[in-house]
Amino acid sequence: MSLLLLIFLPLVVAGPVYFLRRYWTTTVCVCLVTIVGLIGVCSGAPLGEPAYLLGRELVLDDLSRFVLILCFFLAGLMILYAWQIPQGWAFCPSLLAILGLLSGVVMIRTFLIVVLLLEMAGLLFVLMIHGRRPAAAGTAMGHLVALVIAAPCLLLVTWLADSYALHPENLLLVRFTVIGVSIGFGILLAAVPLHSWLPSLIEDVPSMVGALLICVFGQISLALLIHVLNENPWLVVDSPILSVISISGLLTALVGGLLAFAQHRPGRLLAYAAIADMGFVLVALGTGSLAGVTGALAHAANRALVVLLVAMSLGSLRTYLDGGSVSSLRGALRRMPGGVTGYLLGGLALGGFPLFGSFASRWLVYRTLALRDPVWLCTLLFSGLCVVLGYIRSLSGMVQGSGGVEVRREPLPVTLLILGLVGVSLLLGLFPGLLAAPLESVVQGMTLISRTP
Amino acid sequence: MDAVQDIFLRLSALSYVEVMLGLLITGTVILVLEDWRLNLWALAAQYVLVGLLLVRVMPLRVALIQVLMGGLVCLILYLTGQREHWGRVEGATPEHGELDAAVRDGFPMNVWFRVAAALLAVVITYALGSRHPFVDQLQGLSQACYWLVILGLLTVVLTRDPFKVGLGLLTFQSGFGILLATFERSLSVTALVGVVTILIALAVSYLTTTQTDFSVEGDGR
Repeated sequence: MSLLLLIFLPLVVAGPVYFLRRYWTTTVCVCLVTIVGLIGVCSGAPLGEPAYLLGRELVLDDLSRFVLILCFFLAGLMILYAWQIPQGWAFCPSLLAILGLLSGVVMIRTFLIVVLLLEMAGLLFVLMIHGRRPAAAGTAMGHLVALVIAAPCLLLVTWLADSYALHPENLLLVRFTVIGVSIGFGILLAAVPLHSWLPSLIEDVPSMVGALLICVFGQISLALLIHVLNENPWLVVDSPILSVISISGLLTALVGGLLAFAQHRPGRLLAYAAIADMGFVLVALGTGSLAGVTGALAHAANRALVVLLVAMSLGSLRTYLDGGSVSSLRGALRRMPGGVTGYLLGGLALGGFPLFGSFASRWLVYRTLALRDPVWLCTLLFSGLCVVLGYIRSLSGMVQGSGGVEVRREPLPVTLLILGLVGVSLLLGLFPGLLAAPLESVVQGMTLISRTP
Repeated sequence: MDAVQDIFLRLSALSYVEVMLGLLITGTVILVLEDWRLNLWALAAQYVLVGLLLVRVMPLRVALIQVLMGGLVCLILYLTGQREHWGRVEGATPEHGELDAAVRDGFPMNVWFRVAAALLAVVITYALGSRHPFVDQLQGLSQACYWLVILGLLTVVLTRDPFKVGLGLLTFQSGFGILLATFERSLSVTALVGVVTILIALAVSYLTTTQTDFSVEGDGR
């Protein structure tokens, strides 16, 4: 029953929230109460006990619970931020509906249904694309086209996996499965060269909408990829899927980092930095080792927190710097302490700068790679350095004013929210065991680890 | 419902060649012509033809659900097209002023290029369908699936108008629906695929409408 609540509670509440949207504070409160309720239900739900929806099995396992609680937590922060800086009329109801569908994606065991639910969630996302300022039609269509093409590739994987079970001698099926997984997840995770839809989208959409796409959808897609690898051990043993994931990850990190350094627009910079970071996650996952997969999951969680931090800071800078100017970094810090601090520190964290949570999770993977291939390690370090330099350059460009209208002051709740996230990232950097230890026990039980050659 | 079933059963007597010919014509209309109304009629006919193919591999009622979902999709797009004056309102495609003139004429400037693309798609479909049929016994299904998927992708690539891109995506989805029907025939999956198709139509409708609204607002400023 509680598993069904995770799906249907947000879906049901989304309707009233839509009609309540004129009463903004009430809307925010209803959403927050729903999300707190979801976190409570998810924490208390029994692990491994199946429930059934339309004859399909739903199970909450360790990884699902971790991913869901993280996504609910991030969604709660996004709503708190949207309370101060509105993200468009459709943000709250769509977010709730998307959370309901994504809960289904994480828990339902039938991959076919999972992909269809994920596609539905992605289609609902289209409603959020236009915030207070319209996004370009091409931007929104880019997302739609990417989604509609990715979903069939993943659905094909179901068919191919079933066919392989019947004809294990047919190696062509293995090859096609690898192609299906690579294209489908490559698009969803915005891996190079299937990433081109993401940067223009992040540049155009409201900051929290972009963060939702990178943090929540990215997290769920990664969990789904791991689920596919766990459910089809033959894919790990008989096919070069892990090598494909590693190489595409390295390419993604390198290209993402280089393009991040070349960006002048902050939205595109965030997108490329997130792409580079996803490359890192893929490299870690591709190792197939306990440390590598634990590092991948920990880094994906850290990445989600840091991307949300940068998106919040960017949204704040865009809102309160819009039309005004500041003459120096000190002036900007006085007016927008959260925005400036979060943007700079978030940028450093995205690049893997020490002290932050993302460095701690990177360190796990660096140690694994140092033994296997130092060239890969250097490439990842170089990618991170490019991201850090890109952020430093971007911030200096943003705060160089022309002496125009004085900027507005950032609201205190936004500052506190951003600084709180900086604090969480630092805490996870200083005590990496808080995240890595529970994840390691989750990863130990995965068939992916035991079957890796 | 019985009358619809009866009509559908009679239509399902059409041979593969006739259905494929119908799909070739409707697909080419969607790819080549810019007139939204013609495109929409072609899409509606395409859904019926796909339903006629599906009835050979799945229960009649399940195939009918897909056709009804297609009808709903066409209704959504019809209402959108009507609201947007079938793409002829000023500013409907602000990025492509030259395309507006082409839309008014019913035939775009690059019509021959599109015809050539459609011909190429026919050749590729024939080659793929005969060499790599995914269902050995029913070659017509493979041909139809390849044709719709390739044509859908071509339509998406060759246009930037959200309405037309949407038609391309729906054509692609129809083609994939045929493949899906060969290995998954349960009612729940069919219903979910239907919901996804309707959501795609709603998303296309929303983007088409907002594009016009925002561009008109922009012109007003």
